Amino acid sequence: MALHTIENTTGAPTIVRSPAGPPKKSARTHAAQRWRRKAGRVILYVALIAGAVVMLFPFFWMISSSLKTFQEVNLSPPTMLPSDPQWSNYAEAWEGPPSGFGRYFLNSLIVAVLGTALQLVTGITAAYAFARMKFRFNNLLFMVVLATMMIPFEARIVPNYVLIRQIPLAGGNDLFGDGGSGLYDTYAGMILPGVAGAFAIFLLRQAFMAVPRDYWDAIRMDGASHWTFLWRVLVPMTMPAVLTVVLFGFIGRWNELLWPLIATQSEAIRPVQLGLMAFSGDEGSLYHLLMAATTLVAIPGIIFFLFVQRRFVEGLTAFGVKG
Amino acid sequence: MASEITVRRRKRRRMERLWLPALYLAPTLVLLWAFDIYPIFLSAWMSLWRWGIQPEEFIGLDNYIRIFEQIGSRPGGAPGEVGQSLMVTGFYVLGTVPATIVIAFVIANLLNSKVRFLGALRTAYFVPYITSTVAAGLAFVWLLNPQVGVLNSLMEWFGLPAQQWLLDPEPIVPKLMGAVGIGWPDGAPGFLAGPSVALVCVMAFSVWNTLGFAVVIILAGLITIDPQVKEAARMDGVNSWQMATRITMPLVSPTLFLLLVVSTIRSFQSFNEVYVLTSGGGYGAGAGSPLDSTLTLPVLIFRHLYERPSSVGFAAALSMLLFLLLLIVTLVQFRFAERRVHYD
Repeated sequence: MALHTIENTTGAPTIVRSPAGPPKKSARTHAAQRWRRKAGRVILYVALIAGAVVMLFPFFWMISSSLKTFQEVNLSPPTMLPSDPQWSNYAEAWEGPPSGFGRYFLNSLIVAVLGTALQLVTGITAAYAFARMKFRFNNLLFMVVLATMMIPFEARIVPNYVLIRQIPLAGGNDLFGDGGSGLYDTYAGMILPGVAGAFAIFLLRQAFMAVPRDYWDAIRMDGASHWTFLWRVLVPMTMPAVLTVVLFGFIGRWNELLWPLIATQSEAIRPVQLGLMAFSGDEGSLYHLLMAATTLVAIPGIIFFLFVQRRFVEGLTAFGVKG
Repeated sequence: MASEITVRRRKRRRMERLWLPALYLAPTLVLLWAFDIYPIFLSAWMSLWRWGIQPEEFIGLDNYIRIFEQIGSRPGGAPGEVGQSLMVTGFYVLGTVPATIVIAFVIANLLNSKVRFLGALRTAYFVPYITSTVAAGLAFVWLLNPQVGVLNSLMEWFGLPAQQWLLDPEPIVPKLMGAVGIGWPDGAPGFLAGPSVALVCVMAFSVWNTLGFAVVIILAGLITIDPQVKEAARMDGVNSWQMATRITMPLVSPTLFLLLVVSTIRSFQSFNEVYVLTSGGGYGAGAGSPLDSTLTLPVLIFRHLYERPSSVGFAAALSMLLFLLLLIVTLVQFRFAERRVHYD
């Protein structure tokens, strides 16, 4: 029955190929159908918004708690919003760890910026070779690179720990990597193992291959080298892919936890996630301060994401469709 | 003169064929070899040693024999440390991966039905994913605080008993059965009792944390479906359940399969969430607590690597076990997918 009514421009129901039933009955069915559709819409929105509230509530609660006094944060039942916002909690939390959060933030910035930059440069040149150069074993090597995505992080962490301790001629080591501590407890040790990224190479290669060959032929006539072509033409043309790699790299580095924990021991070079863990160990029962510190660590990433989210989601989407 | 130029040019071109790709690839290949590929071999080698900071003694397969010994039961009837960690990892993977994909599939379908504020809603689901596990995890630790956490206030408001959440090592199945008045049979095997309350909390966190990633990936797959296919199906009187299971699901099956593989690998490697939720926030008793009921295999590896002397070789043997498990599970998934996933 429902399939036989369609809406015309005036909004009144028109009967098409309806073998049974007078127009009146159809009008009633039509109204019921419209009501049902409307109800369906309402349920849809209620479900989606309820879901979004569940997803965001922990953040709301984190920020709300961060502005309460010690007494108020330990109240049961709790208050939804702080009765008198304590902005000074943030200053106190910032000074919380022995050397303050400033040092941790600086360390995270160093590791994230250097790590991302190195990954980008090595990823771009490798992706260029895979996408644009003819050489033996091109495909085979690319397969090997992709296969490294399958190696679990935990299977690499033990040997990586041993490896960075035995880098020759670093940290008091001799030529054979013995005697000292190598790159253990250094920025370089924290950064190096994560630089080569199969996912970044994969994304960039796809983007480079999509650029028509004519550009290369044209610039080749002028006698330009691969190097010029890559950095002057190809990279600017594939900016969305390049930015996606930067975003993923940066957020991944910023949020790293296990590797810095294993690869370092001095608080002076540890990144901000470890600083937050240390703070939670020392002052974990002072939840108003802990939540202030947590907000300080979480908010920059969220704001950064809000600014670039379209690019970020596009990057993920490309991954999802092509994989 | 002319031929000399040709020869030189040919020489140059041959050099380009050989040396340029090598130059462009060198940094990546060296790093990948050193930190991703070689470690698998090194790990296999190390697993044959008693190894502290330096290799101490070659012991052959002793580490693997110890793994087997620690799978079997301890005197009290409880599984050994390795057995416990395998069981916990199993609960964790089976509990989080299907739940994440099913919930994400529902949400992605809802979001795909021409909703307003799509961008804002998608962002709401995605924010937990980009937040660091430490920050998001500590926010959860606070929500789940047994004394003054907001979740217990909510339980009281609904007239339910307050819970210990992350501090509760009791298995969930007997607990739920007890709540409705059914006793737990004495001789029943331990794994039937299910994960501990604490592990269920960690699993809930993990689903919350990774849901946005799955939603975005599935949404990307849904958008590529030709709307005419759905329209035709609707014309034929297909209801929404059939639409989801018979039309949409097969069409996005390649995306769902990719998601299944990626999430399973990630789930087997779960360390951060367990570490933060069970040792953060001032009252935790260390990663894997309470009573080893959240001890995933990666956390056990960490324990041997970080807390126990001369255990690096044993940690390497455990990571080989993890690698092997992942390899088997992924192969089984691909075998299964051959029959079920529809590519165009």
